[in-house]
Parts: sequence; C-alpha cells; structure tokens
Amino acid sequence: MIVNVDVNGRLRSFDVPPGAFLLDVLREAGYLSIRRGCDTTSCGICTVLLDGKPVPSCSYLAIRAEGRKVTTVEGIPEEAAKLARHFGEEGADQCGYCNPSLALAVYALKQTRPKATDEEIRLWLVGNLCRCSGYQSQLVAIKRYLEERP
Amino acid sequence: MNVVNKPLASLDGKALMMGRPAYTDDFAAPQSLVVKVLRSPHPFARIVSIETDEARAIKGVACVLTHKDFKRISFTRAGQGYPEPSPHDKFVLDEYVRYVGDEVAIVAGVDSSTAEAALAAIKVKYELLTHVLDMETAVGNPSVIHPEPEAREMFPIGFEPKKNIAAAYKMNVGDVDAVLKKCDVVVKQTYRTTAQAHVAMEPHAANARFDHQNRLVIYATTQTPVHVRRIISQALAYPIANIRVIKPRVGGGFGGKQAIAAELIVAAVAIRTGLPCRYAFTRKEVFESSYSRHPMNIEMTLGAMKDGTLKAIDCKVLSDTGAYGEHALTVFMVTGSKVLPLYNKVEAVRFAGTVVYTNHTPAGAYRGYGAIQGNFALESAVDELCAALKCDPLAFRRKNMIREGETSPIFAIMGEGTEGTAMTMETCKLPFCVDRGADLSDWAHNHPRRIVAKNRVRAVGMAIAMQGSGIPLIDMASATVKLNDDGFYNLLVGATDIGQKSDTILAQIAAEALGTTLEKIVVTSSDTDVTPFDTGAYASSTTYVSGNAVLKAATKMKETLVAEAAQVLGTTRDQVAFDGSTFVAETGRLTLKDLSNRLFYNHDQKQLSVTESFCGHKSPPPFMAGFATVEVDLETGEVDLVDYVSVVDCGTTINPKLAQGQVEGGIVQGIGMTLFEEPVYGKADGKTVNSDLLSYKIPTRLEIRKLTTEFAISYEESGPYGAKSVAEIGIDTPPAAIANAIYNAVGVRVRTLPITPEKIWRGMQIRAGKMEESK
Amino acid sequence: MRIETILKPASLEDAYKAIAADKNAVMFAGGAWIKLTLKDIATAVILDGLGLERIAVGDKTVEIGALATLNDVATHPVLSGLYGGMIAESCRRVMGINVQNVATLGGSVMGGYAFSDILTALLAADATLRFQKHEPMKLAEYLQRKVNFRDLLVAISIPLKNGRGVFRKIARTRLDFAILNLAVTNVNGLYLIAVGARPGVARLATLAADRLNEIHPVSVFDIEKAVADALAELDFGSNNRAAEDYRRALARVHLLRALKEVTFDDRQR
Repeated sequence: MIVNVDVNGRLRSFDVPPGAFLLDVLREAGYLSIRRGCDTTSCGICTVLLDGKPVPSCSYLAIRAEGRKVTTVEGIPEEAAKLARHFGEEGADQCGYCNPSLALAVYALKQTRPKATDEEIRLWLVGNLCRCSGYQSQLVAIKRYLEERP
Repeated sequence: MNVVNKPLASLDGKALMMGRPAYTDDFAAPQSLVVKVLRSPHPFARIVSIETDEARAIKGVACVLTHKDFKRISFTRAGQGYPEPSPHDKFVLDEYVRYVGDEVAIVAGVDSSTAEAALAAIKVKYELLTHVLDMETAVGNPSVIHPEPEAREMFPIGFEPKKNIAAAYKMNVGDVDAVLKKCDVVVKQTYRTTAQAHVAMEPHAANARFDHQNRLVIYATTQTPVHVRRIISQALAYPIANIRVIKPRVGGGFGGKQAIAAELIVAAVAIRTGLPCRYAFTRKEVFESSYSRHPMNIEMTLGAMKDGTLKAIDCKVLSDTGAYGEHALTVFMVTGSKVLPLYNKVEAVRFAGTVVYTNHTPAGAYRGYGAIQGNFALESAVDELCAALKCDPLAFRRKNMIREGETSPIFAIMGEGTEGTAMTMETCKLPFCVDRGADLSDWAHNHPRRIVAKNRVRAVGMAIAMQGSGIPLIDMASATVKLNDDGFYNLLVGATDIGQKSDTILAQIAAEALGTTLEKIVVTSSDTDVTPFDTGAYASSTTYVSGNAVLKAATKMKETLVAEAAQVLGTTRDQVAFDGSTFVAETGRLTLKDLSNRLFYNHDQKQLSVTESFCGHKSPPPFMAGFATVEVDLETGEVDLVDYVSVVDCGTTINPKLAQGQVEGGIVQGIGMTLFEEPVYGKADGKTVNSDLLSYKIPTRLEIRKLTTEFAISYEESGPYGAKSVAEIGIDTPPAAIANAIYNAVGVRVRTLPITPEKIWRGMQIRAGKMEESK
Repeated sequence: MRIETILKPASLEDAYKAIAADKNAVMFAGGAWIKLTLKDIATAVILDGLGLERIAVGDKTVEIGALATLNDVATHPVLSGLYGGMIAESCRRVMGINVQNVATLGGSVMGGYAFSDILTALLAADATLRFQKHEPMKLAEYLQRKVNFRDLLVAISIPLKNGRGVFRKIARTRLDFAILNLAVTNVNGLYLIAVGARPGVARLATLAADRLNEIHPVSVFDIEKAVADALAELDFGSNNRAAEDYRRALARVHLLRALKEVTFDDRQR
C-alpha cells in the first residue's frame, strides 16, 4: 500500500505492507533518530509528533499517517540543540538513547504549555522513561529550556 | 584545576539529542539478514529431535542453525577477564534447554517476516525434565541442571554441578560463635532480594558483516568489547585475529551488557552465510533471555554489647544464578567483600554461602552486584539491632563504622573470585556523609516519625554503603594519546562508554594533564582494531583504572612534547615551561601548534604517540550515606518517597554534574528495586511473566519527587586527580534506608523486597492484632 | 504480528458491514497495546475519517465519538470540568501523553479491560453507548451483558449534570495498571459508586448507592454504611498485583474518602 506522509516538511511516499508500523517505515527510510524501546507503548522511545502531538510510532499503523505531518527530531534541529545545551549544563544526558524522543515530547510541551509547572512537566513526560538519569537533572534542564524565550 | 572537577557538558550529548546515527542497530549493513532465535517454551528439557527442512525451504531463509551445527565447546558468556571465575557451562546451542527463553535454534531471513515464518516452521520434540525453580531446594536435588561432562571450572570456585552448585565460598575471621555467645544482644534475620531487571532503554543488539579484508566486523551493545572478541573466538573456534568488535554508543548497560547476548549469534550467522546480518532483542527477549540480578536469601546475624559496640557479624548467603553461572561466584563474594568491612571493628566475622543453579532466566552482573543485596541485609539488621539496643542508628554507626586510616582483614581475604588485596582507607569521609545527610534530611525533626496529616506519617531512615574502584591486580586499562598537526590530540581508549559519559571524563583528565581544553581532545572508544586494551566498563573501574591510564599517557605525552620543544628551542627540557599551548624558555618561545606542524611537515618528522597502561594494586572504596524520607498512609500502607538524600565520598568528582547523574541514576534504580520492581514467575514453569514494560514497573518521573545529592570533599591520592569510582555506589543504600524509614514510620519491618504497600498494610494488621503472621 | 488486509470504509454503514461480514475482522480504535494483545490479523478495519473523533456538546448530554482520544477528552472544555474533572482524570491516569494521544474512548470501552480506569469513571458518569445498529445501551448493562453482539460503537453519551465526582486509581507507579480504581459521583444527593480492577471489570455498587440515595442529608455514618454495603455487594479477588483482602482494605479506605469528598465541604471532612 502507498502512504503519503509529510516527514519534517518533506512529502514522502512509502510503499508499505498493510500491517507496517510507522516506526519501522521511518527507520527503513533512514530516519534513524527514532528507536525501539519496548514495542508495547510503555517507554516513549519511539515517540514522533503526528500533527504536532507525541504518539508512539511502534504501534501506530503507517497507513493511518496518510496525509498527516510527522516530525522526528531531525525536523527540529535547532530546538533539539537548545535542549541539549541545557541537558549538558545539568549533566542530564547519559546514554542518550531516549533523548531524541524526549526532545520531541518537550518541544510539543513548549508548543502546548510553555509555562508548564514542575508537576505539569512530570505529567506530560511520564510516558518517557529514563533508566539513567534519575530524572531530577532532566527536570531542571527542561525547565530552563522552557524558560528560554526566542 | 582547569578542566577536572568542572561541570562541563558531555562530548556527545548534543549530537545524540539531535538524533545522529549512533547506536548498534543504526550501523547494520544495508540488506542485512534479519536474525531471530527460537526459544524454549520449557524450563528444562532435552531436545529429542529438531526438524528444520521446512524452515530452510522457505524462500528468503538464509540459514537455520541448531545444536547439531556447532562444535561442542563449553564456555561462559560472563564477559570477564581470562581465565574467568565463572563456570564454563554454556554452549552456543545445546541439546538441553534450561529455562523458558533458552536458545533452541537460530534463523536468518531476508526480512523480519521471513525469519518469523522460519521460526514457525521448525518442529522440535522435547523430552521434558523435572525442573528446579526454588533455590532453597536446588542443592542435592535429584534433577541436575548441568549433567554434561564438558561443564567445568577454570580454577577452584566451589563448582559442584552434580549438586546444582555453581559456586561456593566461606571465610571467617575470629570465632564468630564464641563471640556471639558473649554478646548482650543478638539479632538474626533472613532478608530476601529479587531478580531485578536492568531495563537499559536500548535492547541488546548486534550486527555483523565481512569487510574488505574479509574480517568479521561486529557492532554490539557491549560493555566488554575485548572479552566479546575473545569469547566469540573460543566458542566458535574462529581465529581471534579475524574478529573486530566495535562498540558504538550504547543505550545503557548497568551490567546487563557485560555478558554476551546477541554477539555470538550474529557472528555464527555471518560466518555460516558470509552475509551481513542483524539481531535486535525484543523487549520480551531482554526480560526473558538476557540476565537479571541474582536473587538472594541472606541470613544475617549481628551481636553487640549493651553499650552499642558491634562484636560479631555472621552472614550466610544463598544465591540463585538461574540456568547458567555467569558471575555466580563474583556477585556472591561481593555480598561480603563490599559490605562487611563497613563495620571493621568487630571481633569476629564469618561469611559463607552457596550459589545454586535453577531453571530461571540466568542472573548476571547488575550495577552494585552483591553489594546491594548484602547492604539491604546488613543495614536493615543494624537498625533492627539498634531497635533492640534502644540506640540511635546514627550514634551506632558513628561508633562502629570504618574510618579513614583504618582497614579490615576482609580486604586481604576476599576479592572477586580470588584472594583479596590488603588496603588501608586513605580516604573515608563517612563521618561527614552521615552528619551532612542527617542535616539535609532534617533527621532531628523527622526521626523517627512525625504526623503530617490525618492518617499520614513522615519518617526518615538511613543506611551507609561502600563500593570498590575496579578489581585490583585484574582490571587493566590502557590509553593512547596521539598528537595531530595543529596541536590537537586523539585519545584512544578501550574504556567503554555505555552512557555513563566516560569518554567525557577521560577527556577531561587528558585535557587537564596536557593543560589544554576539552575541544582539543578527540576521544575514540571502543574498537578492538583501533583502541588499546581495556577490560571494559564494569566493577566501577573506568574513572579509577582507565582514568589512571589516561592520566599516565597524557602526562607522558606532555613530557614528550616538552622534550621535543627543548630540542627545537636549543635547551634542556628542565628549562622549558609548557602551559598547554606555548613552550617558553630563555632561548625562545614556541607554540604547540607550530611544534606540531613542524613535527609533521618540516623538520625531523615523526608521529608522537604515547600508550600507557594501569592496573590497580588496590581498589579504594567510595562511601556514602543515604537518607530516605517517606510518608506512609496509616490505613493503606501506601508509601510516597518524599526525598532521598545522598552524601557521597567518591574522591574528586572529575565532572561534578556527571558524577551527580551517576549517583542519582543509581539511587533511582535502587528505589525501583526497593519499591516497585518484581519479576513474576509462572508457578509451573518459572517463565518470566512480566516480560514487558507494561507489567514490569520501573520508577517514572512522578515517583521521584526529590533527590538531594552532595559530595564530600575528598582526595584519593592513588586516583586520577584524587578520584575514586562513582558508578555503583548510588544504588546500594535505597533498599535498607527505605526499609528503615518504613519501620520508623509504622513499626513494620519488611525483609523481602520489594516493599509493597500490601506488605506494609499486612504488617500493620499483624501489629494491631487483626491478623496472624503467616509462616 | 502481521496484518493481511486493511479496509478503510467510506461510511459508518460500510464500516458496520465490514465488521458484520467478517467476525474476525478487527476494528482499529487506537492501537496502543496492539502488539501485546494481538497475533496475526486477517482483516483490520480502519475507522479514521468517519467523524468518529468528534465530541458534541448538547443541552442534556455530551456525545463523545468513539474515536475521540483520551487526550481529546481530558482537554475538552466541557468534559474536563464535568464532575470536577473525574472523567478527565481517569484519562490522564492511562499511561503517558503519547498513549493518551492514540488510545480512544471507544477502544477503552470495547476492549472491556478489567484494569480499565476509563470504564470505572464512565460508569460513575452514567454513560450510555450508542451503536450503529443496536439500540443504545447503558454502559453498566453492556459490561454485564449475557449475550455478546457485534456492532460498531459510534459514541459514548454522558448526561450533562451538575454534580461532584472523584476518580481514584491505586497503582504502584504512575504507568502501572490499577490495583484498584474507583469513581463516585453525587448529583444533588443521587450517588453512583463504581469500582474497577477488583481485579474484575468495573462494576457499579448499585445497592449501596440506592440506599444512600434515599437518605437526606447524608451523614458520615451513612457513608460508612454505604461503604460496607458496597464491599458486600461487589466481588473482590486476588492476582499478581494484590490479594483480595488488601483490595477490600483499599476499597474500604478510598471509597470512604471519596464519598466524603463528594458529600461534604472541606471543613466537614
């Protein structure tokens, strides 16, 4: 089946088997920033933005993305770099495996709720697991990023 | 110091955040075969027959491998130095399967669905054998898990496979029984820990291909590239010189990637087919078929006098290594060696135990191995003893704990799998850690408890801990510093950055020694064809062992540069001052840039490169005090962890922010083990039931309310710029500190992890006389 | 898992026909746990583009399209305030925001999961299910139905009433399934009490609520009695997450607290 998707502002057309999931289609197409963590929508690693909203691509049928906008971290390099600077300052980045998905989720939060409180940040990101950081340094870094004004 | 002890941003954080290809599966060769593994549905069985013709006939199936396709070579996947202290009890594939999830057959197909079709087409007949799931009944069980004659130990580790014993050990100092008899108060309890899963965010993966020299090149999620290379060579009888193992970025290890997982399987497929191939574990495979923490039952006996002097410790351990003996002995020994010296003033101490085989998923290395189990038992028991003595837990610890300048006979007696190494604590800031932690957790106000709302109490509990810094006389690391034109450097290290950001802190050490900035150091880790030898990222060794190697190499490079500059400036080296960018002598000045360009392009041309090695003769322990503040619902037993205070003595922090990340990451994994994480096994078959992240629960952002982390001022002379290790120390205290806090809150002592609200509620019911204690 | 064929019907009627014609056809609502719950699928019916994601606010009810996501519901201006945010809270308690953006209310209802947080809140909100063919049916009745039927769920209809509500989920971590969940509402003295993950699927404690509804004004004593009644009429059991007696203890404590919260002002509690 052919599915037409706007990936990071570029119209792409993928020929996919009916049961293909967005994660596999995107990775196959070279968007390697999206990675697999669990396959049961429990970890947040495979997050992409679909029309600006974070969704788990591991379990999202590719053909349901027809005509929609998919954003991977490759599509928001400047925002990712900004967030990375705050992560670097706080020592909030360790293995980095979850960071592209976290950048997307945080970016979506900034669009939706730029003045999010600590509790709102935690709640928004609760589905993005991290086993390295202990979370606290990430919270500080994310707050700094949200406070940054263009 | 200009670079060391500075909270600099990591070298790779930005590019990783931006999604650059970096992890193993990102580097699979185009058109790679997809590898999958048929896994055993039975806990213990013999394969009577295995039919693969149908699977092989499927279009697109490149190979199907069974135990008949491999030479029968026993080895261990543990990923340790050689000879290993783990029994050689594993075959690439075997006619026996020993746990639900054990490998039966390997398939490779052109794509995922072809490989799955091949799996489905394999017909296996099993003869079911009686399985052993309870570690208490494993020893001497009529069902023997490793009856094969090839299973062997490399040197004496107490290996008795006919009794289902993978390893055993005992030691004593003084006469424990006699001293206990003299004690005013004796506390004896059994503590139980579970098979925690590592849950690194990146599942295990490997891919293989043959390169332009027809060498086998493997990318792998590994903590131990040189061990992987050696083990592949041994197990597949393949020339080691023809194997190259590359560790790209790794998405978390925590010990779970010390042992071999996918590497051997892709190597076998690539050798068999000549084609590139890739294998990524599913999350289910990670849970069922990689490794877990060794579950242990620990019987701890403490004896003390009325004045609060601890006189004797007796520690008996039963450890479950599952189907294979990876790290069986070493993890179990650390339960004593990195725990019992905390109370070094006792008259007698005894440690003994057995590590048994069962038909569970194998256990292996996991951050804080042995120490976290032992610490839970010892530090819980100390608080139980304090309760019996009516003694303040802080006062008791201040009186009895190890201090700077002191030693323990245990250091010399017990190592990891071998004899230990005597050492004196050159740095031990435990008194400060305890005092500062008490302040930060408002011990005076919160201990033992206070009521904060109707049906709600707040309480604080604490524990102290120690770790090591590498394994003395065994862990070796080396580093190469190479000068480039224009005056920047390559730092080549075998040290394995698995997300702990060791590349960054090793570059900081090199930059400090060379008097330069981080931008001038380009780090490469780890590629067995390129980087020098390093045993790998385990045993809290990287900062101390690899860091010392880097310091030596960088220092020598600086001396070499000064010698070269002296020659150019027509003077002697002692007349040259070098600040990292300019050489100054009375005879003239020379920049490093000019010297480098001259050396490469103009005069007396040569490459300057220095390789140095380090192997520690001791393992200076980092120490910490952990304070857990909890709130407990008096009606339901529900617990909120309000704050976790850590005060850590890890010597100099090479990078304070990254060190804080190591501590806090460890703390949260420890909190997970204490409160949430509980592998559930099928009663009939021992299968790991909660083999996904929906049902196996690690802490989320909402459970971690507050972490307070500080470092003691400390300088370890033998460490690079005064550093000790920091990777594991954080994980050790949460089980006991939280258990102690909950006891302080509601008077319920939970001795079996995890500490669930239900267990607390049950304890409260029993205390209130509303329920009988169950056996 | 593999999917052989995908159908994208152009109308609700076509969608109904597709699922009626093939009893193994799988309707795609959100797909959050698809890899956990399903093996191979011969036919998948995609329901996108049929307007099922709309939330329509009427005079007396709010009609939530079956494909409205949990996040749509949680952030809807009317639904997020209904019963003090009880329904929104139940949606917010299901996994994280990324799952809430794909999981749908219809999927939660048709999944009929015993651990469901949504079903418990919807029961206490007196929800009615609207199908393509079948007559509308109260959710409570649907969950207890003896005869199964195959139909396309179109919308979940919730009466717009001015009342208090509380949803509580007891779980080990925020991303965990419930050990127990409960929802209670009080609309001018008329109560609904729902308890789920007992571990059985959510149920109303009808007798307890009915008795409470006859009393005006309700005292703490009456609430304690209602909790006892609810514990007597509901079945509780044991599984990996908790034993029966602990579930009962949790229900006793949390129902009491929740009923007080929807009955009294802060001072009175």
